[in-house]
Amino acid sequence: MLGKLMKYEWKATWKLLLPMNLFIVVMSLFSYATIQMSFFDSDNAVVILTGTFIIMAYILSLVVVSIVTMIFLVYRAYKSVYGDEGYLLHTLPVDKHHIIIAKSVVSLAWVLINILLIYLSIVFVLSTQMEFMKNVFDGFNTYIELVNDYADIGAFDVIMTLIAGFVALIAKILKFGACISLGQLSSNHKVLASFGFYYGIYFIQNIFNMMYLVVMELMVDTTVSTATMSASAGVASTWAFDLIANLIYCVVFYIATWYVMEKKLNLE
Amino acid sequence: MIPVVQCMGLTKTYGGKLALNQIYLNLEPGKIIGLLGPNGSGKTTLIKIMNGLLKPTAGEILIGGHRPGIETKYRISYLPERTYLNPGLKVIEMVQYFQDFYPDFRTERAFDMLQRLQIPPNERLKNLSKGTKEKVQLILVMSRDADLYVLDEPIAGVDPASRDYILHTIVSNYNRNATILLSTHLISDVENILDEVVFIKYGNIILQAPAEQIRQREGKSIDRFFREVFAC
Repeated sequence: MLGKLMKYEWKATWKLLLPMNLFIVVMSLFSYATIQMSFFDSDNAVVILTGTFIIMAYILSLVVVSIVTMIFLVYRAYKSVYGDEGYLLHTLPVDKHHIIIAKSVVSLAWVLINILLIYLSIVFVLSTQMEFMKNVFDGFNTYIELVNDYADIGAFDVIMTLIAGFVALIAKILKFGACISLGQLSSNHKVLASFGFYYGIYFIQNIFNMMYLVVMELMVDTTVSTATMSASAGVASTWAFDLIANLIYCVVFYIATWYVMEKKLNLE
Repeated sequence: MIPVVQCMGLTKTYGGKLALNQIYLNLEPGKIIGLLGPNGSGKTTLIKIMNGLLKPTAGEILIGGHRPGIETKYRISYLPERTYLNPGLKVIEMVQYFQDFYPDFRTERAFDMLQRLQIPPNERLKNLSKGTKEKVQLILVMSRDADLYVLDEPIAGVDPASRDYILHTIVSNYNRNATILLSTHLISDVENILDEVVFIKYGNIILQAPAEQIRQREGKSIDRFFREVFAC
């Protein structure tokens, strides 16, 4: 049943999200062409203005598409689980775990597609400026070397940081699901209650982050002889904290969503 | 014989407001039962609890001996009082959807009914009128070989000319061993197909009796009797 739920979730989302994300590709091509055709070197003010407009529209499209993708996924989750379509979803002979997993996996897939497209698009457009790209890479290498003077950051740290980021993304998606679900516990103003839970959880997460920083500050040994070791430990503890905290968030948000769906469902 | 539906002290309150008041109700299999009551009497609340869409405040409900859950969802074919289909999908995609999730779904029966009602399978639901959408929902629900059909106001949103066809569709497409629980306030349209009636008022079951018995005992139609019982 999980596969079927994912299939229909994909069907319900791709019609809007695919064209929107393809729009990024189109805008990237336009921007690439604009720079390649030296619009900005022209003597004609109209050509320069057109080029400026295209580049601005391109940057705006990156921002707008990623925001709309997220808003659409949240709206879709609300509508299909607790709106009219929920009457069908919750009368299907399927496990609530499968519903949560199917929706989360498809949402995660769209967010990843969106992030990947934006990265590729930026690299593609900037590839017109090889000198600039070279400077960026040189700057990045210098930064890594500087950091490595104080901390021994290996491939393991980079991989773990990426994994921590991936888990943070899952936690973010589950957080939206949990807030929508917890909002349903309110007899009136369910949407308002969902926003309340979102900001409440955001506040609590910030407190945890601050507590971590304070603890780190107290623990870091600032003596010169142990500076390298401390910085290395700092990097490791940062991804370790992110990873552990987000894994805990994932479990908490998942259980909260499941609890409301399984034990407290009230489609009024 | 295990009742298809058993309610034991079933109570539901919405923020202190009583919607169902300690209901005790047994529904036997193989009957068409009318759940009759005015708006706000608790019909939809009772139906939603049967389908696991609402949790009771107190008491218990069993469907074929089971609490609402995956097992009972295999057995119940439910038509809500609202449009619950994804408007972006085509009729044929919704048929496939039901086929995918319900092992008792009969695809041929669904296409046969769609054809008879001249509903184009390749049309998107958002392009259909409200009445046609309701017909599509009814076709999907009645194309299952379920043990219990729970139909919440199945004829409220369609024109009188279509009501007869819908009622005919209901009566001629259900599994004879199954039970149909039909909620409505349009009594005169459905009274001829009912085997049993349940009157619900202010969240209380005030009458449960065979339809014929009521007609003989009261010497009047159920519609007329209903109007007297629920007179404002």
